[in-house]
Amino acid sequence: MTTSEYNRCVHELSDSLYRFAWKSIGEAEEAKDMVQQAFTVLWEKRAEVPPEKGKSFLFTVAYRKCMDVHRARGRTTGTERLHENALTEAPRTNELKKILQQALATLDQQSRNLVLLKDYEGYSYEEIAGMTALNTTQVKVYLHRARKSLKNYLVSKEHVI
Amino acid sequence: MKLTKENIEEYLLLLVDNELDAAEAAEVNAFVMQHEECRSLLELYRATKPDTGEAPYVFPEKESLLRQETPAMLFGTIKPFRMWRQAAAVALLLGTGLVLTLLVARKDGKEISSPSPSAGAITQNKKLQQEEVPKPSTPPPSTALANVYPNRRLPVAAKTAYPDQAAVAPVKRREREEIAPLAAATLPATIAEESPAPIIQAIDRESVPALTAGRKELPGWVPVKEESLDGVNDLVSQVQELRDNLAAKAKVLKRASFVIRIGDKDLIALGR
Repeated sequence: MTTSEYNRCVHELSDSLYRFAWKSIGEAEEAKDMVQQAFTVLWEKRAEVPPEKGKSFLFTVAYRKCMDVHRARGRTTGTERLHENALTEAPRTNELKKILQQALATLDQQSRNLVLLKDYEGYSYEEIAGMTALNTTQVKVYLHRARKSLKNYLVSKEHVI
Repeated sequence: MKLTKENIEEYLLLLVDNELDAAEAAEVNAFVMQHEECRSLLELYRATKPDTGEAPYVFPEKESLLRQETPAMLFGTIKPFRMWRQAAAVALLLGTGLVLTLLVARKDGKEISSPSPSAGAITQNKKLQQEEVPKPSTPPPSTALANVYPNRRLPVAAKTAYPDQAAVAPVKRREREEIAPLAAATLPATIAEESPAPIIQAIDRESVPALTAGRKELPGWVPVKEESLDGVNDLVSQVQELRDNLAAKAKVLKRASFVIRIGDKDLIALGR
């Protein structure tokens, strides 16, 4: 990957990587740091990363760093803090989006990251498996479980749609 | 793929995640259209997907991530000042080589064409001595050389020292004819009278100026330097000295004699 190709990755992928990090961690400043760290790693490894693999490389680095952040926090499930930040800092379009953000915040870190990679970035099960060191079946099971959890949150008594 | 109410939920999730191909998706949609409860379930799962039309996330510090792109240069990433330094080094080497070449050429030119008169004469004399002494039978210059190569611009000394073989052949033959009596007859009177005569006639001191004077009228004539004439004169004097030495040896030869004697009888007696 050349310098111009790296800069093209910055222009094309920094926003989506920032969204993924923000939705995963729930804090804008930590999300910024994570994006910078991911691009720093990409710059250092640019000789080994072909241009077409830039996006998956960045999201792989971001996914692992998100998991590290949550391990450091000692949390394996969604928290009220994350929930509040997601509600206050995420873009608000309508009520359904707010409920969905709340539902996402209830997921565990790994399931939330899988949902973000699937729904926001459009990766397939196989591609997500390559990023997360899971196999395709595990990705499918975790995603289906997360989808059912989100569905149940949406149809719960407080959030009937 | 067999769809039932028990396994339809899994296929609905695969449909929401876009993991089915077109045929499978059509089959699932057909099944859903036939079952109302499946249709509502599919709508719920679709609602779990975020709306992609939400306000875009913009990373605010994008410029800090960009890296400086090096401009394309003719010689890769060599900096301009380094190129100037290399160009100066190349120019210095070329200049040094040119100066050395000129010095060497000038030195060679001094030895060949522009000596001081005394040193040049000595050098030429030495060369000529080395060439002439081991070859005492080298024929002297003659006017035949000028007739054979009238347009040659070689110095007179060179022509005198290395005459053409075609022109020299008659002289050698004549010399052999004159010296032949020396081997046949050992009488001193014969040798003393006949053998030096052709050589003396061939080596004429006046022949060289005559050569040069005759060539001055030719179109390609280049004046011969005085030092070259001095060299020719020295050569002529050396040849004359050689002639004297030869005459002296001829006198010794006429007195030489040997006798092979067995007892009182002389078997072979030469020079007596």
